Amino acid sequence: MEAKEALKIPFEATKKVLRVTKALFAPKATEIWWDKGIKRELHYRGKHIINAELCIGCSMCARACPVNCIDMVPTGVKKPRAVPKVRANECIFCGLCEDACPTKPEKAIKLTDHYSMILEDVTWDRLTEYVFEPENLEEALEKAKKMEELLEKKKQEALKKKQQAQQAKAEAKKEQPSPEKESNPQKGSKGEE
Amino acid sequence: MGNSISLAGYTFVVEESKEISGEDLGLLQEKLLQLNWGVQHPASGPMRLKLWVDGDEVVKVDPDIGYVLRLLEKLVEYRTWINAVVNVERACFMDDFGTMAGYSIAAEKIAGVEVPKKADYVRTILCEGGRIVSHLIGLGSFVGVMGVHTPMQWALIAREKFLDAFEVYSGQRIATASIIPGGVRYEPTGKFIEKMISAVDFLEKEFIPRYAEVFIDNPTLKLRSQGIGVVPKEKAVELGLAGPALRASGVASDVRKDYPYAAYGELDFKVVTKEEGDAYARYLVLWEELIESAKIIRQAIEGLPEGEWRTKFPIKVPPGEAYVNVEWARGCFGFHLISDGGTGPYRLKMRAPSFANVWALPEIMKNVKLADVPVIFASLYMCHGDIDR
Ligand code: SF4
Ligand code: SF4
Repeated sequence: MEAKEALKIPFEATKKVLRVTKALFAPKATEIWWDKGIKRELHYRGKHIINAELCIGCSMCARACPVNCIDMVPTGVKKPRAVPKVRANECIFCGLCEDACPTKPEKAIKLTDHYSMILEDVTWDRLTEYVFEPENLEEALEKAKKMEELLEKKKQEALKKKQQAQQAKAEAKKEQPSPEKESNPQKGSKGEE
Repeated sequence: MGNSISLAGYTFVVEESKEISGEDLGLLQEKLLQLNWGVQHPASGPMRLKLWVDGDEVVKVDPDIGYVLRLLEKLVEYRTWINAVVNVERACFMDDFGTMAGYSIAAEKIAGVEVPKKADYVRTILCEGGRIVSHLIGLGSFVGVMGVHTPMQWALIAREKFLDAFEVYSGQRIATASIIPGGVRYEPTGKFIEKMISAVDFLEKEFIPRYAEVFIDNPTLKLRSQGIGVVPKEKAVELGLAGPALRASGVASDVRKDYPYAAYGELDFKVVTKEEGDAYARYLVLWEELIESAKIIRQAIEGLPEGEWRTKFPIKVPPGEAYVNVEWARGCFGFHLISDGGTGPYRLKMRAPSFANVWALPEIMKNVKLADVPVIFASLYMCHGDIDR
């Protein structure tokens, strides 16, 4: 009996070695996924994307957030007065901010299917600094500023017009109303433009 | 040792211990051993049972809960009507749809909002999906506490298909936040329906026959669970048991049938009951409810009407209160919601079925063997998130 069992040992050993070598060359059961760009399904709730050009600064998203992780950052321009900033490590990715955003047809705040949020050297400070900010804030601000200037110009022109009209009226009152004189200041204002 | 028990504030009534001890009352306290079954026990989850054992026999049980208290009821007071669902759904992550549906119905009752028919049907599909997911884990863990872990793995495979369907629907697998006051958040797309049907197909064609063959009429399992933790019908009502545990004692109580909500009134299903009232009967109730739920999902998908899936819910809700019961996976879940006319709930009281079941433990576990404690515990089908809230 003993001799027989002793004979079996090398046989068993080769069997095991064979099995291990086979497993080494078999396809892997797990894989590294985060750089593969895997597309998630419809409605996947991942990283936020905030479009500052669309945002009107109504802060509905901040009010809808159940964990109060959206801060409204003042921009210094009138429209949008403030844009949202999401504190990512507090966000629970519920997507209610997207639901609440009133801009149409595209929402100014959206949850994308971007799921890899890897942070290196994670400390508490770095985690609290990890935020989702509007990506095109500067462009949007410039646009908003230009828009504001334009509006301002138009306003002032309107004001000037009004003043001139008033002046003209006053003058007209002084020197007896006549149809020719009333039409003159209007022409003058157009020339200024 | 006896001193340590009395120091902890637990005293024994002499009459009660007489039958266990025999004659020597003085030595009795020396013989009793206090065991901490739980917090770190593989079957207990995050709670502790204080067990006093005399040899192999359990003399007294005292559940010690509160390890996963998250103050969900209080947190809801700081939310708006819509976003309170993220707190409500976290009562238990296994079946989060049932709790969300209950809260939403209560809020709609106060506000006087009527939801579209399609929303009702989608809610039904989601709630039954949640029930299946939860029951699968319940079945797996019941056999799991006896030391066989294969059924849990099988159950997880079937559960995964449903989670896939939920992901297609809402974008999240467990905390979906998809049922809100005023309807459901997303449109039930064709892809979602497709995924749901394929999940039900897998459940009915693959999981159920395979599982039934091995783990239902299993002699070892029967030996271990039949006649253990028996609760007669009257006792079950007296103790206030809920859900599958109550139905296993022969009480045909099911909110879906008794007070239909969502689309349950229009669907055809039966209430599963068993007469025996032991651990095995409770296990069988779970099993048969799983089959019923699959049928309900099929019916609801067939009858899915056209139209809107969400209506406008007002930001401010007039003062009032509502009490709504829903049949959650683990039993009847009650919501008492009060509005003071603000933008969010003034108070929400949740009546949880697992909390009712956990206080039946001292009665059920009297004079059982120590080895039966996990079996009874798992058969009552409790969730710790729901006990503590
Ligand atoms: S997804 Fe994040 S930021 Fe948006 S509402 Fe939910 S928790 Fe707040
Ligand atoms: S992102 Fe939308 S909801 Fe938030 S402030 Fe801008 S427009 Fe309003």
